[in-house]
Amino acid sequence: MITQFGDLFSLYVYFILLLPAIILGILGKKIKYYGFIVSIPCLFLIFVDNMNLSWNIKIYINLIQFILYLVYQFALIIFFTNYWKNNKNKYVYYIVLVLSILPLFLVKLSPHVKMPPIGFIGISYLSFRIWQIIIDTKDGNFKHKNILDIFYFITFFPTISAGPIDRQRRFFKEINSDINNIDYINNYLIDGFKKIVLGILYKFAIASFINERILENLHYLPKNYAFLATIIYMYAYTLYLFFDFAGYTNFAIGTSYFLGVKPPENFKKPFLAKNMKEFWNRWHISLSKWFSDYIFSRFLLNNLRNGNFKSRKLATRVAFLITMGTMGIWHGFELHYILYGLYQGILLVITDIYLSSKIYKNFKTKKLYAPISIIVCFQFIAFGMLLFSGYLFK
Amino acid sequence: MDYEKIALEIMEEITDTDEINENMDLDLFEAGLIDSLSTISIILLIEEKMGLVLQPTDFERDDIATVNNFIQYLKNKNEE
Repeated sequence: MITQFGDLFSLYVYFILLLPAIILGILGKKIKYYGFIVSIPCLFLIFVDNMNLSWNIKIYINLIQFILYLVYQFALIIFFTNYWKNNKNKYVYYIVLVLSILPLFLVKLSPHVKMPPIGFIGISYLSFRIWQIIIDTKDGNFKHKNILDIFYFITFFPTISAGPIDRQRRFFKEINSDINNIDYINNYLIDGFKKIVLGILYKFAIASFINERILENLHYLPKNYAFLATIIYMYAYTLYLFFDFAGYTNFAIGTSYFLGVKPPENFKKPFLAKNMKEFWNRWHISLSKWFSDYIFSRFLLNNLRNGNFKSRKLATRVAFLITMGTMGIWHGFELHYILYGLYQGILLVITDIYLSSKIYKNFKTKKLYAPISIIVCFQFIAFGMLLFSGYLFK
Repeated sequence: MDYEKIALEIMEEITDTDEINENMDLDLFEAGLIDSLSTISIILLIEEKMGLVLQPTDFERDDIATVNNFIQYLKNKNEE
């Protein structure tokens, strides 16, 4: 469960804190400076939220880690953006990238080795923003110089705990362009409210209901019903995860709208996917797009340029496995995450083979193609979620 | 450099149709002629025809959505 916007009260607090931003928007004024200031209490709220409002030492440990992390990553970014202006040594780029990945790697490793538990909420998603800046700098696509803007982008709080993952170019263009008051009211304020209302329905009505009525009651089933319990858990968890995550995402996007920022959408009716490729264009879209742009495509391009693979098909399939494997490990080094990544990778390879087969070309034209595909695909999706949940390894 | 010719050649190869020059403002994504994976082929073809080495993040969706946008994109990128 995602803790940011975890209850109606915190939603209310965000709303109060964002009221001045809404007023600025209605007046047609620039919001980014207020957005920058309000980040501080809002980020604090996220850390407090994460600790169930118990004011203890953990909050400070979280805050200190967060600040240290930012200072460290900023030092890397400032060094690298300056270095790359005059020098183009690829090894320096790789070292900077590895140094930037290192903290998240250690955080994910810490539960598995003799190490004090480290990490703070949002570190995974902050990392995506930072790595993006480093890679885009290397490509010559990061030219923004205003340090305040960069800071705002990296610490942008509405989407900090679980996305959507924004893109720097769009973000900078947006926060520095003027939104006139009518545009703000119609396309940011009203749409933002709609998203938040939908989010309340998703997260606090549907997801909570599934969690409290089904998931938390499954252990009452007698032991010899373990298989049935697993099946129920699989479907219920899949629906729960969607409504909880999509609910959170609606809050994240809605509050961003209030600040005059339109992050990318993250869900597009995922359970209507007819195959797993389509699923990844509908589920956690900003994540799969990030992995596609920064890992999948680059791996494929480099290998095709160097002629490392005999056929393009083979290269594509290896790229699927590597990308999804990385995605699994990114969630953590737990066995179920690694298996989840491999499962998704293998499914994409199978989907790729299926989509270029004669069976598919014939089937596609049949009347029942869509309903059957959707039902079958949903089984694969649900089994993936069951793997992801770790339920099988408890 | 004849950007229009190069853009049409690339898009014809990607979409496997030579009718795209009939409406150069047609949204190729909406028409189902290209998808997000097409960018890889487009990058490799640009490299082959113009010697310009690009990355997937060098494009926005709009840059390749229509042939006219693509012509403009190639022109801007090459003269940057």
